[in-house]
Amino acid sequence: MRHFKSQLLLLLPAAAVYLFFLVLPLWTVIAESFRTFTPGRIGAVAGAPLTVKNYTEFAGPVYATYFGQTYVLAFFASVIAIIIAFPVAYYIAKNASASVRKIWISALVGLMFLSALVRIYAIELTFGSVGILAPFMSFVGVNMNGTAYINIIIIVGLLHYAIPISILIMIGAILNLNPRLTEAAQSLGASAIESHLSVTIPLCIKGIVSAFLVSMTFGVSAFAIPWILGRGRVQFISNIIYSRFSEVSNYPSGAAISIIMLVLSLLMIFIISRIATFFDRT
Amino acid sequence: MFTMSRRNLLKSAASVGAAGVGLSLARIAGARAAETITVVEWGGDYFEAMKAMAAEQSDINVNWILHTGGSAAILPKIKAMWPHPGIDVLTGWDVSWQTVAREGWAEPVTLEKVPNLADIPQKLLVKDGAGNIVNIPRTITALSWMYREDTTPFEIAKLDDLLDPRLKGKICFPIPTLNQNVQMVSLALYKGGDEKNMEPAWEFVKKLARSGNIGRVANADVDTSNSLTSGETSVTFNNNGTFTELTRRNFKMRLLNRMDPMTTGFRTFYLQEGWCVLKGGNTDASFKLINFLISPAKNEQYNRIIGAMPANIKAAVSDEAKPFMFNNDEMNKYAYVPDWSYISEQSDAWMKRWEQEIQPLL
Repeated sequence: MRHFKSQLLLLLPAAAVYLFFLVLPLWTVIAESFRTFTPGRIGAVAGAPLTVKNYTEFAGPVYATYFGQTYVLAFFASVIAIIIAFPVAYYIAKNASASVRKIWISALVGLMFLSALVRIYAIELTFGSVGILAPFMSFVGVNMNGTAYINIIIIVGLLHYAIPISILIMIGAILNLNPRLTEAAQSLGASAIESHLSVTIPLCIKGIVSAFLVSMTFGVSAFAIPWILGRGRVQFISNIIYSRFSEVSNYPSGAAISIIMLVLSLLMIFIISRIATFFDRT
Repeated sequence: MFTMSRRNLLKSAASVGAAGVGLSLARIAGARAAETITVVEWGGDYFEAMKAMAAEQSDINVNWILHTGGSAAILPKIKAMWPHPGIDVLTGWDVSWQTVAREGWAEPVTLEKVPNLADIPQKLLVKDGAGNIVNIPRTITALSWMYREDTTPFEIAKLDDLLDPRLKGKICFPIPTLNQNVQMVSLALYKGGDEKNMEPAWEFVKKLARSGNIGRVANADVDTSNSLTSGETSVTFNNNGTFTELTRRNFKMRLLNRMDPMTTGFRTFYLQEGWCVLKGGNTDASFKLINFLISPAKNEQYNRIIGAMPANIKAAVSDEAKPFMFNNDEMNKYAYVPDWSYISEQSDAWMKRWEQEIQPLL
């Protein structure tokens, strides 16, 4: 009992931090999301009547498109990031010497410190409609003014962050892998590819899922990437939230869409975790 | 000669410490002599000009904060911090003042507090519900359509030309929260509507979005200038500051004003920019600094730097701002001053309509 009490006491500071910095602000957002907005004012006025209109206005197909666009682009960026990052992480963890591994990890961590705006403008100056590759793109017949091209550039922008973070996350998972299991599979007749697909990847599934979730989280919450690389023609949910809070001061609507996004993200994490657990068991 | 010993080291450390304390005290004394206020200012030339002019007086030190995005973006931050926003002076324009007046944030402006206000036209002053003046104008800003002649494939003569297929991806169209959507008011006026009847404008913008001519939707003025200077787009609607900046950088810009609005649709919109002193801060020092900055000489100097028209009637207009300067007859013919109070209440509805009807077509 005494041991339990001391544990509880030790938990108190962390619980207090969560309560004050996460639960309380979140509660404020939830409460604001049910208030009626008066045009021309900033946020809901004191004592504004309660309403669910802030939620129902996002029920239309147009906003489903915005949610779809945000999650689909973030999903593709995360999948591509995992596909690129896994072999690199495997090489760093298994094949690189200790000194080379250090260099790789330092470079990847260094890359994380590079300003997001620098990366975004680097992409814009390279792949933008007047970027250095524009003459080549025009020559090969790429429509740089098209929505498909802009979406691809946004995915490239998301990959700039997703790839290094995925590599760093997966290095840990691969390092913990027991090499004897792969060797055992091969000694029982499995080819290198078969042992990789049936032993290595399933055993790294938790690391892969973690990297995927971190990339997805970054992708769906991206703000500057769609803002600049999307040329204002592609809007992520984060851009709409910013517009509601900062440009038109409609806090209730901004709060409602934030809560919808939070619920969707929690749902996504739950589903992916269940899938990962399923693979882990099998 | 310095001999390395424990005593000498301690003596030196004590001397350095004493000197440091002395310097710090001197700095504190200096700081106490001048009051410090916090001012929210626009970036670029606006900030550089204001910083240089504020440095010409020594009574008040300024802690500068720059606007990020449109002028409305700072308002929610003030609301969140109210009644202690940590801001003494806010820079903004007509629409901001409508919101500030409704929220009751402004310290009333009087001639006693700002004697130079006597040289500012009364028409530019915005009042709250109680009849108190909330703003101190410093600049008359003009908003109009403009384009880069060297990257536009033909001479634009009317608003309908924006639908020309030769302008594929060449238009930088401001989002409704930018310029308070007067770009769409200009389209509405051309097609028989006005700011209170925007249907014709929405129909026109739908056609424009479908045409593929909108290459970028500007979320901030910097998007517009970056897009035009890089050559990504050629045609836009923006303020005289952007026009002056691009002209100074030798971009071949053409201003679409002084053209018959009935046949071309090109109208110039006028608004006033200036300051508002927020309640609860260092109001006396704020009014003192502002009074200095809107004196005829300073107002002239500031507007010369940013290429705009001074609000002070005793200040001369620079050559660069003259293309935007209309006489009474021209004002009646080519200019339009919308109902800013009405417009300030439409941001939310217009932005939602943009998201629902225009954005999916881009």
